[in-house]
This record gives sequence, C-alpha cells and structure tokens, in this order.
Amino acid sequence: MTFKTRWGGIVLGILLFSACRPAILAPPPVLEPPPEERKAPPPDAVPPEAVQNELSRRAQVAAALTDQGRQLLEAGRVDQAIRIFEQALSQSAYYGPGYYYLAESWLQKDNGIQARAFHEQAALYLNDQSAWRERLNRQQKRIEQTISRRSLP
Amino acid sequence: MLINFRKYRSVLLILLALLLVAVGASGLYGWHLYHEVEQRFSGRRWSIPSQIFSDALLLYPGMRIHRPSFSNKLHRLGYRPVKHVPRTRGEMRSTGTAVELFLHDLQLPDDRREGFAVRLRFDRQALVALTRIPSGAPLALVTLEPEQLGFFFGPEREKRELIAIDQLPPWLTGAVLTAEDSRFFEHFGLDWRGIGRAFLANLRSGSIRQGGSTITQQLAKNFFLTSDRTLARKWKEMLLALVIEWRYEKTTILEMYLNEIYLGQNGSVSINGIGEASRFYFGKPARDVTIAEAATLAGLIKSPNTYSPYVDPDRCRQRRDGILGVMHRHGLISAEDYDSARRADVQPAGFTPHPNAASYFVDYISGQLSELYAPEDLASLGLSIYTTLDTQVQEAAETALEKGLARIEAGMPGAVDPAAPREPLQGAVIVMKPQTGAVLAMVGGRDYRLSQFNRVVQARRQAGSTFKVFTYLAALDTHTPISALSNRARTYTVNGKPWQPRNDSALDTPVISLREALAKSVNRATVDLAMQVGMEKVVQTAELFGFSTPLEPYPSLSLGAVDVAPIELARAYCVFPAAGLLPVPIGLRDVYDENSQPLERRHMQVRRIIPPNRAFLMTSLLRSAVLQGTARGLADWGIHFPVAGKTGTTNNSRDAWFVGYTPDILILVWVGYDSGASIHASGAGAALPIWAELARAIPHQITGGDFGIPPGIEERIICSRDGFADFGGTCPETMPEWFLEKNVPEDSALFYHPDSVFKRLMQKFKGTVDDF
Repeated sequence: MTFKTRWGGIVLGILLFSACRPAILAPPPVLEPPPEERKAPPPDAVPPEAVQNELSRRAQVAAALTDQGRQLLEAGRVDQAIRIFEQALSQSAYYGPGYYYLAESWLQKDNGIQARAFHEQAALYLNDQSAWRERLNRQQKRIEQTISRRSLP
Repeated sequence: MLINFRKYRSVLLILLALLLVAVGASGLYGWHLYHEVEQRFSGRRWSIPSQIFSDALLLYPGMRIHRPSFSNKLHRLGYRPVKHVPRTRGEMRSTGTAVELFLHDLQLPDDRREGFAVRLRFDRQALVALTRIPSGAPLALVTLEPEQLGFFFGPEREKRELIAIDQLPPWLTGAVLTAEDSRFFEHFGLDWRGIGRAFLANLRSGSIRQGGSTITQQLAKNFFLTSDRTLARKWKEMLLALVIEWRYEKTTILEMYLNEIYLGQNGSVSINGIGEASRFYFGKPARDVTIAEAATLAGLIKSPNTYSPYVDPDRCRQRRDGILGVMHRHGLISAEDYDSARRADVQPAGFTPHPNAASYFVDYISGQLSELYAPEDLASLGLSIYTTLDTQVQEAAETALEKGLARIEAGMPGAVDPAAPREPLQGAVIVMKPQTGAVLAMVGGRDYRLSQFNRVVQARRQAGSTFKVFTYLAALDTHTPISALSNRARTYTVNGKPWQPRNDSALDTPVISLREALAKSVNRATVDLAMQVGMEKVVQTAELFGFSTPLEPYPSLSLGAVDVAPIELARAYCVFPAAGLLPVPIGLRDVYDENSQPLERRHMQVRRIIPPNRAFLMTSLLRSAVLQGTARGLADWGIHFPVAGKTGTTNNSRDAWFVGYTPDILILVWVGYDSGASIHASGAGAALPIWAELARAIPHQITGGDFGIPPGIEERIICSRDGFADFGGTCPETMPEWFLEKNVPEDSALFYHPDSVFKRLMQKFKGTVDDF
C-alpha cells in the first residue's frame, strides 16, 4: 500500500465517520429538556395511553352533547342548542362537529359573521373528512349569502 | 213606659247615632283595609333575593377528578354522609374506592330531572365507573347541579323558597295546623275559643302574654302590622284577619302563611317559609320531609331559635314529640307512623354557612348585572343567574395563590421588600377556556375581606415579557423560528434620547435564533426583531387583540413597557390555543326569572384575528419557553403534559407573570405589590409555581393532550447548533422545526436529510481533496 493510498484510506475513513455521525449519533430532538433537567414523572403523571383514552372519552361526551344540541336546533330551540354545543366544545376543544353546528345555530339567528368564525373552525378540524367536506361547502355558501344579504342597504 | 222612653229617647238616639257612626266608620275602615290587603297581596308578596350559581359539572366514566376538591364540592352542595346506602336526596356514602350519592333534583331551566342514586367508582384520580343504584346499570353522563355562589339580598336579608300547597305532604300542613291553629278550617279568621283562652291567661298574669292568634291573624300581623302588644294593634289585626278570610280561600291563606313564616337564622340571613326551612334544616325540598321532620318544622314556628335542632336538639325533640302526640290524637297520623316518628332522631342536614364563595368573581358578575337590573330588582325578583364558574377550579386557584404568596414571603430570601413590609404581597389568577372564553375561575386578590379591588379586572400592570409575543407574531410574515437575531448591545434613540435594552441574564452569544430568543426572553434580540419588523406593525398586531390601554410605537413596547389588565392579557393569549380566534370573556351566561323564563342569554362570541397556522407557530415557540426557556421549571413542579407559556418580569421585579396554556385551558398568574414595590422575584420564581400547583389540582379540566397542527404548517428536520440552522454540513444535533407553509426557507441545504448522507459525503470528500 503506497503512502498516498494509505492516507487516502484514512481520510476516507474520517470523512465517512464525520458524514455519518449525525445519523448515528444524533440525539433526540432538542425540544426535549436536557438530561439534567429531566425529572422522573411523579406517580400521578398520566401515561400517554390514558391521555388518549381521556381524549376519546371526551370526544364521545362531546358527540353525545352535540347530538342533543342538534335535536334542539331542529326543534327550533336555538339558544338552548347553542348552550349545549358550547358545553360540547368545553369537553373537547377540537371537536369539529360542535363548531359546525354552532355555525348552523348562528345561521338560524341570521348572524353570518359569527357563523363564519365557527364554520372556519369546523373546516379546520373536519376538512380532511370527505363526509363533511360537502356539508361544509354548502354551509359556507349559505353563510356568504347571509352576510351579503345583511350587508345590502 | 212612654214617659220613660221619652226620658231616655235622646240618650238612645245618641247611642244609636254613635253605633251607626261606629258601624259606618268600621265599614269604611274595613273598606280601606280591604284595599290595603288587595293591594298588598295582588302584587309581589315577597322579596326573593336573586341567586347566583356556578356552572354545572358533567360526570362521565373515564374523567379524571381531583378527589379532595370533588369531596369539598359535594359537601358544599349539601350532600351529607350516611352509613347506609343513600335512600333520599342529598345522602352520600363513601366506601373507599366508591362514592354513592342520592342526587338532588336537577332544576336547571333547560335541564330538569328527578334525583336518583348513583355509584361513582374511582381508581386513584379517575372516575372509572358510573352506575345506577341498585340496578348497576351504567350511566354515560350525569350532571351534578350548580352550586350557589351568593345572593343579592335586600335590606331585610330574607331567604325564601316559595312552595305551592298542593305539592306538600299532608302531614306537613297537618303538623303546622296542629302546632298553630288546629281549628283553622272551622273559624272565619278569629277563633273565639283561642281568644277566650288567651284572655283568661292574660287576666291571670295581669299582662298581655298570649294573643290567641289564628294563622290568619299571624299572617295579617306579619304582612301589615308591627309586633307591638297593644289593644289597638290587636283590634286592627282582627279586622284584617276578617278581611283576608272574606277575600281569600282557606288554602290560599294557608299557602301564604307557609311561605311567610319566620323559621330561623343562618348568620345574618333569616330563613323564611317552610320551603326554605326544609332546605336549611333537612337539606331537602318541603315535599320530601318525613312526618318527624314535618313535626320538627312545625315546632319551630313558636320560637325558631329556641327549638332549633342546631341550638337545642333535646328541646327540639320534646316539642316535636308533643306535636306528634296531638297529630296522633287528632287522627292525622296512624299509631304506627306516630311510633316510628317518635323513634326517629332529630337529624338536621348540617349547618352550612351562608355561601360567600368566589367573591371577586361574584363582583365581576354583579358589575355586568348592574347594567341590566336595578339593585332593588336583584334583591326582590328572585332571579336565577347562571355563570361559567367551575368551583373546583376556583378553589384550586384560591389555594394555589395563597400558598404561593405565603411561600414567596416566607421561603425566598429577600422576596419581601423590607421597605414595604406592612403591605401584603398580592396576586391575581384567572382561568379561562380559550375556545369559548368562559371564565372558570377568578381570584382578584389575596383576601377579599381586606381588599375588594379586583386585580384581574381593575388593575393595570406592566405586562413585561409576556407582551413580547406580539412582536414575534408580527414578525411571522418575514421571519421564521430559525431566523437569526442580533443579541449585541445596541443603543436606540427614543424621543431624542438614547436607550439601550439590557438582557435580564448574561447571554454571550452575539446571534440567536428567533425561537431561542422568545424561549429565553432575550431583550436585545426582541428589540432587534421589533426594529426589523417595524414598531408600527408591532402595534397594529397587538391592537388586534383588543387591549383597552393605548399602545405607543416605542421600541420598549416590544419588551412589554405597557400597562394591561390581566383579564385582557389572558384573553389575548387565548388566541393561540384557540387556533386564531379571539374570544369575548364570558362569566355571566343566563338569567332566568322565577318562572324559569329566560331574561338574558350570553353565548360565546369569537372573532378570527390570526390564521390557525400562525397561532400554532406561536404555540410552538411558547412550547420552547416551557421546555428550554424561562418556564422550564414547570417540570420541577410536576407538569409533564404539553404546556405553552411565557413568563414576565418587569423592571425592578415589580410584577411577576406567568401565562400558560394547554389545548384545554389557559391560566394567568400575576404577583406583585399594589404599590409597585419590588417583589425581588421573577415570573418563573413567583408566578410559575402557583400556575403549576393550580394546574395539577384540576385534572378534570386538563386532558394532557398535545396541540393540534393545522394546515399551512410545514415540518422540517433541521441541523441546529445554538438554536438555529447550521450550514456547515456537520450536524451535531437535529431538531424538528415548524414553518409557515408560505415561508419555508428555500435553501434545501438548510435542512438535514438523513437519506442524503452519501451526497453530502461526496461533497465533503470533494472539498477535502481540493484542499489537500
């Protein structure tokens, strides 16, 4: 092995090591606190699966409440329905149907601006669900009609 | 005889004339009284104080509950411990892992149900099962009634729950009639036997000791007369009784009497009427009282504070048994019922002091109500006022604040300003639902009895670093979290004078990433960013959040040199977890009249002020403050669920802030002196521990879930060193970073691609060979 070949091999080795190092030695994302700051979770820390259970149970509660509110809305009891939808959102902050029906309620109250705010929020959480997309589109049109009608002199 | 007649004729005529005059005068006076009675009884008969309620609590299997505070809540709601399986409303039994309740009736205007027995089974802090007793049928959802927070009393300070006589059990009316007027249905307002008996008794004693009053007379006295013991007053009472009997049915008179009578005292508030007394003494509606309880209540009428079961149970029992005996003799109850009732213990529900909870919050609501109703209407119309308050959160907030302030004063050397030792350290806490704007708790100061100044609403305090978020938000059009900011000392000219921002802690690096600058609350870098963005834009951005205080475009504004109301700051921060919606804080929800008809309804109101992706990016930046920045101490306080937040400390440590939020809830804590003296502690040292203690005590409000990522956000894995991108190709650390879709940096070399190691290797090799 010549001098050049031997040094070439060493350089290549170093380069290989340095280039690969991030992939091999990369620590977990630094969004985690540094090791010395990490503390063992206390006994009452909630494990991730429990969090998921809690979220899904809250979503179930929100769904039940939303169903209740929907029936009130169909019966024309709009204010009571709104109160129930608000309760649903208190249980599950990202519960899209709750926002959708809030928008419906405000449409029934002929308040397009408020309906639009809730519609946008519903779209945020429901737009990836094909079953909801068409309904959201229709709702948006009704909201725009309400707003333009009310803005007429 | 004729002569005699003539002799006395003039006398007789005079007597006749006098008689006619007397009859005429009595008739006229009776007519006057009739109108007086008519006027008094045809309108509102009683002043019913309006009541203010908390929010109801939804219980469902799987929810997490802080059991000590839940237990306190049940106590406040009047659930009383028993040793048997709960059989009647308000009974409660604890059996280690379970709590059994016989629920009170739910009487919300929009939600009514009868009380029933339930079993709540717990596993540590989780409610794992909710079942009916005795069937064991699972329940999906149970609403626990709202708590009374307070009353709007008039000057008479009377509390009364009106009842309808047809809803009362016969033994209750029977007991009252037995005790007070057993011939009520036989006389016409005056009972001559009773009057005769009283007359003889008074003659024997030589003074007026007994009145022999019927129930109608008592009613007349209570409504129209004073309690003076004079013949004139007695005469008027009798006339009034006759008028009332002539005008009204017997059952109506009895119903008015049952609603009117004075039956005891709860502190400074008098308990009036059989309905209120049933609640006060036995924790149940009047329709549910037993025979023994009915006799006890009837026995109280004679002298409520002498025969009160709270004052003298033995005397109360003697009086009760006496009434039971008469009821039995009159055939109102059977021998079996009589024996059973006599054997029953005198068991009052437990003396619960008059509620005086959440005083600052109640003041906040009162302020809003005063725009709708006159004080005398609130004191008399019997309105039911429903609010958003969560009493468990309120209790946790009050406890955490008090403990935190005491800890600062006692445990932190130099925390208490020696120059102002007589002034109590103050604090304020507000807890909100970001998506709805509902105010769940409000503590406007350390002790309401000492200071009613509501620091959450009325105070204007310098925001300090909590205000920096608006500069960073304003920069998101042009900057990314990895944008480099200058941390070098620099002098700015403000109003012709030099001004040099200083960092609170030593940070040598001359350049710092935007993310790290906010996380570590670096003043110089923040001012540098504000200058790059332009102060006008910073002001415009902050103004979107609806602050009521004027915002001037001085560079120091970017560091929070502006006074804000804590509630406005809390509201502003709600925008980030609420995906860009600015809510209107809502504490007052519904007002109903005494017939459950809605008078006022307030719904959540929101307004979009920033797009969801920007809101998320701000949350992401504020997550770094909690994980790596000034708020990283949260983990030491046992907070291990996702939180985003910002500390704040103003010049000379006059104010210490922490505003933190999860996807579910937002909590703002402020600590400081009213005078503006230094507390010698930072937001992280003084306000953050209070936040943490509070958050840990309200598991039913915090899911522990992470923040959702909206559309319009791009994630890249970047190489990082010192918090921002490294272009050198060597990558000691990687981190995910979030960008707005529209301004993901175009230079792909910026990002770390694990799958391009070979490409980078070849580039490096080529460079090395070239150097060689």
